[in-house]
Amino acid sequence: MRIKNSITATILRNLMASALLALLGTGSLFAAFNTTGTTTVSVTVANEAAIQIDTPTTNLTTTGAIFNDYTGTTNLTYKIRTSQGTGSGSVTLQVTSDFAPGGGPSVATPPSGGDALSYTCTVSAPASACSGSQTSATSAATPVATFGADARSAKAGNSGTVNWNLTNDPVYQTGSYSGTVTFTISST
Amino acid sequence: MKSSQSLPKPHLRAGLIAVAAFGGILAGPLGHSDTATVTQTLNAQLAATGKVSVPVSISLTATGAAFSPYTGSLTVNYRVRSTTTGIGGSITVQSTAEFAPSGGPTVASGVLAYTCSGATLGTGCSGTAAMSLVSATNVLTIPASACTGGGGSCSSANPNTVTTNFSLVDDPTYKTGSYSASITFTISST
Repeated sequence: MRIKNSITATILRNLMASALLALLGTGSLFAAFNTTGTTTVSVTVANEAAIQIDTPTTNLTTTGAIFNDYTGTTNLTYKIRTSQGTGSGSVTLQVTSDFAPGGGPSVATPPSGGDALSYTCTVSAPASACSGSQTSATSAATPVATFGADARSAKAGNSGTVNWNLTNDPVYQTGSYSGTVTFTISST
Repeated sequence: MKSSQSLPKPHLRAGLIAVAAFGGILAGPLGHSDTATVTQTLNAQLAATGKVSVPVSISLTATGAAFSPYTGSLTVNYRVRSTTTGIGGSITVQSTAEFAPSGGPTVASGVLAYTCSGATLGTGCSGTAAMSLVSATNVLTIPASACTGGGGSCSSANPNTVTTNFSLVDDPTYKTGSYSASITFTISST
């Protein structure tokens, strides 16, 4: 009688222990779980460019002698990152809407030969300013600034200005005339 | 004469007797059951514990306008048990390796931040926290008497999850290229 009791008790004890271990050990089936877990955070930084025109409306005015040309300044802020090695970038402008109404200045069809809306550029590094006086056009973009490889602006952006000059032709009828200039920045 | 020849030798007789006795025990009279009950008490001491599992990697990507922050989300899986008398537990995160190579973002400058959302057990971190190299920052607060899975007084979800939403400043001063850092999540429970 005693031998049978001992065997039964041992078998029962082992079965219970196995069941308990199985229950407690369920979490070990998910090998990735641990008291700590580590992740690699990755990011690819690519070339980017952005521009902000700080002068929403540029007023061209004439001062000094009669029929002095109209002048004005457009301020801008640019942000840029060009690729290391072979990257580059540019800022251009184009007259996307000619002066209106008619009877005054015109970029596309000036009333007199030599009439023009021209400009010069001033930009802070890493940009290089356009060279000399540029004549704006409605048919194509014209340069404002260029960038080389690995050009990177400040986090808040860097400044630039376009200084305008509009011929003051006596042929223009009196009145107010407006046109639209679009600036474009690009980066590779 | 006849009586001595009829009986087997003593040692054989003893063996036969033993066999007979054993056979008697095994066979027994038909219909008789002989059972014995043994009871034993099993005690299991379940201590507070916790484990986490996170993806091996996460990639932050640029969306929207130029120089908008890089973003990405990561789900932290966890299982936890906290005692009724303890102070609960937590999941924290710390950067264990700075972004490399150099020339790009750095954790030390505070540009890698995160928020927490969707905790299925406990309370996710509040607001935006900056990832740190020098100290662990909170992701999840686990209350006392918390337990994962099974429903009832425990959570129905198993494992539990909480989402960390990362944001990395896109600074024009970063050089172009790929950069990686390591972050480690740690769970504790009392």
